Amino acid sequence: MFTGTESDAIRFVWIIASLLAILSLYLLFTSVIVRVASRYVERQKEKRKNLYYGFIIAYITGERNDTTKLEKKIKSEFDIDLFVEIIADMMSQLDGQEYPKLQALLVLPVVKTHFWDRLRSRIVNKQTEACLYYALILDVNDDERAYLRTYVKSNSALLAHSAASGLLSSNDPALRYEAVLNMARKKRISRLAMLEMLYKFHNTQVDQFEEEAEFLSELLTDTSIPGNNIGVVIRSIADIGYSQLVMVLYDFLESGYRADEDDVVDGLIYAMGRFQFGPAGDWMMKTTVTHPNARIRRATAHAFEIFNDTRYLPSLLILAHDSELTVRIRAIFAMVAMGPEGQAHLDELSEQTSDLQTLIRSIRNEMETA
Amino acid sequence: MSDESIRVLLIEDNPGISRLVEFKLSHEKMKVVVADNGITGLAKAKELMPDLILLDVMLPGIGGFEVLQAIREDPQTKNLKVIMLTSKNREEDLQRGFSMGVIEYISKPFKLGELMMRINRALEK
Repeated sequence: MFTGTESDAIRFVWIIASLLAILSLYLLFTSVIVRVASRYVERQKEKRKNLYYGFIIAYITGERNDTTKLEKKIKSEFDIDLFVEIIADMMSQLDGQEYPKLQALLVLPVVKTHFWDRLRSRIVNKQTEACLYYALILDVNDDERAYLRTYVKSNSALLAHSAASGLLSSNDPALRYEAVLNMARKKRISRLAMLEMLYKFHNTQVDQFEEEAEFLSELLTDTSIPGNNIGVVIRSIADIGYSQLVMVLYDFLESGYRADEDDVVDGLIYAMGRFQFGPAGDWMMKTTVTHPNARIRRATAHAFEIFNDTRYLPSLLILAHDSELTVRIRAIFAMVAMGPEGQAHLDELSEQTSDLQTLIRSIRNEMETA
Repeated sequence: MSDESIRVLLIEDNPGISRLVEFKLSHEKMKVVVADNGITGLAKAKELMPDLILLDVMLPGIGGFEVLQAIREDPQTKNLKVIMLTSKNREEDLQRGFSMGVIEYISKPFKLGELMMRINRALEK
């Protein structure tokens, strides 16, 4: 309850109103300052960008060979980050003779020293940024590589992944293998990240196919790698086309290597189909057609489709009656692909069950349209 | 082929690539106009009636194929020569592009020399 005089009340209201007015003015003033400052930074950034684009384009097109002036312009951390961002972006778009020139700009002493400092920093974010920088360049020395090899074992998934990317830019397959091995041993690496590692492991510039295949063969027998990652490794082996490993993979399938891990079995069946390795088909007819996991049965039907051999029709008939719809669909696709003999079996099937009749009709239509 | 009267419209949102291509074409004495999005690109195509359009598939807002379709549907621009730049090297994209009258296709990452060769070849057609 208010007990003062009327003039006290008026004074009180005036004080509150004045404070609010001061606060509003302060907020207005700071927002203007922040806006002006951010516009200034944007303008500076744009100016720097224009400057760097000019230098970079002149350098990669051979108009300018001297980088001394450019080095003098790169003064702060802001400059270095902007410069590297521009080059990395251009590297993602360009190939050919411009690419090594862009890489050469990335190893200007001022830039390299900066990232060497970041690599040795105790802050994980800075280490990660440095690792990503090393993924873009070729001239990585032994000291820098030693850091990357340590970081690839890090518990920080981001740091380990970035360090692996740094090692994967090397031309030495042993180093690339080290990166893949360390990442493959991680239980929580995503399937996509694992795939990316394996595709980077394969050198597309220099023929190292044989050495790579030997390393991958070693990787396959590493029991500390989780089954889901081994499954991705096997699929990548098939997709990239390391055909020298087909017998190794077939032996795994036949001997029941990690047969209790569905990802491994699924990968092996996929690889057999991809390599069109016929002998595996006989084994599959006996074993995986009745596998308890629908994914394996579906992979089997798909492999039979790729083999495109009518002797697998009896197995496909079994799969066409599978309890899982996706398996039935895959089996029917395979039978349609097998020409008149497969089609004749499908006609018989159509007469037996009305459900299958609809399915077969729609798959036939789809394949005819395709 | 190098002539100041040749006008090339580059519809590309990557500033590094557009500046680089602009630089190279200007050195070949061609007049280059850059649009960093599909809508501006379409307007520039009608306004300039360039001898050649370099069109990126992946553009902010309306994509490269939509721009191409609009160019083909407009009686004024329907015969313009178009080279498509794409980061996807997918067969269906190639088919779609060629069925819409694209005369050359170049996949990113690309070699600058190859792009120049294709531009010259397209201009000679």
